[in-house]
Amino acid sequence: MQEATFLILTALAAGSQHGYGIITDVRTISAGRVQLKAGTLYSALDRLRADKLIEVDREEIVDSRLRRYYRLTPAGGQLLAAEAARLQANVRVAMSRLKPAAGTT
Amino acid sequence: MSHSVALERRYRRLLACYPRAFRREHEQEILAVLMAGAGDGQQRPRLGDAADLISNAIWMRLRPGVPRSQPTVFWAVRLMYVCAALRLLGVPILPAASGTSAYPLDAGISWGVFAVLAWANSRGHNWARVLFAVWVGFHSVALFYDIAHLSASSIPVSAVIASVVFWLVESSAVVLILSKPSRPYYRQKPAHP
Repeated sequence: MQEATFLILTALAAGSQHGYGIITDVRTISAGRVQLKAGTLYSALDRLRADKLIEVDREEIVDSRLRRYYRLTPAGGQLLAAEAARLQANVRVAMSRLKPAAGTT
Repeated sequence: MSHSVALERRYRRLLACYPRAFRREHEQEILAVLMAGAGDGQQRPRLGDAADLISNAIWMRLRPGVPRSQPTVFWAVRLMYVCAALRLLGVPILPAASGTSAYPLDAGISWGVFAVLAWANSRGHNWARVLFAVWVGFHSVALFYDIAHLSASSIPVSAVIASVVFWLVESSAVVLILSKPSRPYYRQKPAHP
């Protein structure tokens, strides 16, 4: 899973969000390292929706513009949990191997 | 206010690069995001935003586009692209044709046919599904005819093996697109472009 996809799913894990909300949340989650642009975000949202990993929660009209809120589907939640567990296992191994190496220097 | 009107007009021009169906679904949302992220007095799209919109629009028009929720069509289209790549690499469809002078032309044409049919199948066009099955059916008959007459000719065994492997790949794609789970994908309205 690409990092941008992982971060978008993570942003939606806490509740539904609209496009600009996802961009600001992804920036916060990644401590400013990942700055999603609109084209990339909506390509990813379109693909995630087609794969039934996210769905539209509700729509609002704000300042005469459409604001669409997205949320995770159960399949999206499961995929995110599996990916997070995979990354966590990798991190655990990396940290355990780094500890003795750090101790010898 | 006139600044934002000019900026929005320019963003709309960039969004025109996207497939119509995608624009109908997301244009208002993307505009809202772009305008929310615009600076005070900004009249022109930022270079990074413009490049991002254009590159994603190109990718959206070219990508296979089959969702993973349709696994049979998803893998069939990938197998079709594998066929196109194999033809581009010179893998023969028919062992008897591999040594002839017409082979480079034949390889070029069939590469194009595989690529176009893969793209059209990924868009859910039913005519592409039928055409691909007929195209592979024609190959199957010609291949079995070649193999049946193998002893009478001096065709290298490697060309026969390559042709059979190629046939297995394209036949797998046919089985997948003709399978029951693939039917709903071809019944729905073709995707983006």
